[in-house]
Amino acid sequence: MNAHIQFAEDVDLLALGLLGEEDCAALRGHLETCAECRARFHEARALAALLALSSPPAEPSAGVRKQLLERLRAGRENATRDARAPKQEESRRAGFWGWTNLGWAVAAVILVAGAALMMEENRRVQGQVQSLQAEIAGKQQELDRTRAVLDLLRSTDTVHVHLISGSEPWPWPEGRVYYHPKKGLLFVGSHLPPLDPGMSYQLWCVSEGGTPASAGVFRPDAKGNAAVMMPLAKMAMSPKAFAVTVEADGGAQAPTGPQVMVGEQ
Amino acid sequence: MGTPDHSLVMRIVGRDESALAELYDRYGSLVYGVALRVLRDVSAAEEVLQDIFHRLWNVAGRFDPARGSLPAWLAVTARHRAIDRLRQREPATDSETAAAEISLPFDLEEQVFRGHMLERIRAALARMPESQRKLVELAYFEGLTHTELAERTGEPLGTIKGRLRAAVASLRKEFGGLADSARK
Repeated sequence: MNAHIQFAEDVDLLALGLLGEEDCAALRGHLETCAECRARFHEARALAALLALSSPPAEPSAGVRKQLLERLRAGRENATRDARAPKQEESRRAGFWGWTNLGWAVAAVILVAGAALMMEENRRVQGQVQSLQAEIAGKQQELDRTRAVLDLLRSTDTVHVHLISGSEPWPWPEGRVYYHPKKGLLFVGSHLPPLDPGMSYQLWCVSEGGTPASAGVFRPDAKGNAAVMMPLAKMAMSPKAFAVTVEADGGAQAPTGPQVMVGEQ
Repeated sequence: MGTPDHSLVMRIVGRDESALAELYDRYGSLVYGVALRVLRDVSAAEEVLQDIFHRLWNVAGRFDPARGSLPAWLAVTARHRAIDRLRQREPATDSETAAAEISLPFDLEEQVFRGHMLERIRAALARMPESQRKLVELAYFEGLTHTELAERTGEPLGTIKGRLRAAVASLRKEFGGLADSARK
């Protein structure tokens, strides 16, 4: 079999971490020279990362967070203590140089200190530049999302559906869906009761034939508010009705839990 | 919406503990979930959880948000670390470095969208034929090579490889249009 074909077939296995050491070494050598396999490998690695992300989230004990922060602080105190020790060592050694070498020692110290200050300043400035660049990138993303939401809300063709619950005491849960056949869907919910651990709300789009499709799983914030944005590329149908149910974390393939609110066009 | 991941990472570089705490609050349950799935032991999984975020504190300066997705790095590194512990071997830093270059075409910072995407990922796994899904779970979450899988299941090596490739192909079919932008 052509060696490239064999390597290409094993790229996915490499990305999953499933090849033995010998096969790994051979394939890694091939990746260095083959752009096509390298691109496939990067894609497979991203897909493999999705496997890790598929694990159901779980809540650790509160003590872990506290221990982590204490560990950080202990590390910083040790680093500060260690940073002082070399300086004490340097001044002790300077005593042995004698007066005839003192001038050279002073000049060397000044040069080293000056260079260190410049490097530190350079590092600080670089850090600031990177931080600002990262902030700008983040703000741009937020701006893009905000524009998408405003675009959907402002369109005269956007359909507005009010989802209501008839059974809960006031203030009862309610939601509003803003749907545009070419822009996507935005759901905004309010007065959503808090959920038991392990449970989430799930938004459903219901087709004209009555088939529900999941539009997202969400949990409300402390005030009972929630939002789901679904771009058009992810919508598989033109919905005629919407509903919210309570499901286990991670959602369900079809509605199984109690219905919290419903609305139709 | 909270502070973007890359801003928090930059603050960690500046030794801001509150930034690490914020990322822990955002992704701790995800990392813990990965570790728990591999190790099936609360105490061991909590140690891995703490180690991963302590590691982030130490290597944040090397993490480039333009090249890699932080939740992907956290989840994949947690999986590697948990498997190393399961198999009682020393943690390998080269796999951690490689994980920093995994770019996802969507970001998971916003909680509602995160829930939606993670639900899609789980749904894609649930749609796989059971023989494929079980194999993927054994391989990915127990760290077995395809040779070890063949020994464990009694299936021929060629069958094992074929099913695993098919599993990745089905993920590629589900997310391939999105994953194209993950190529470097």
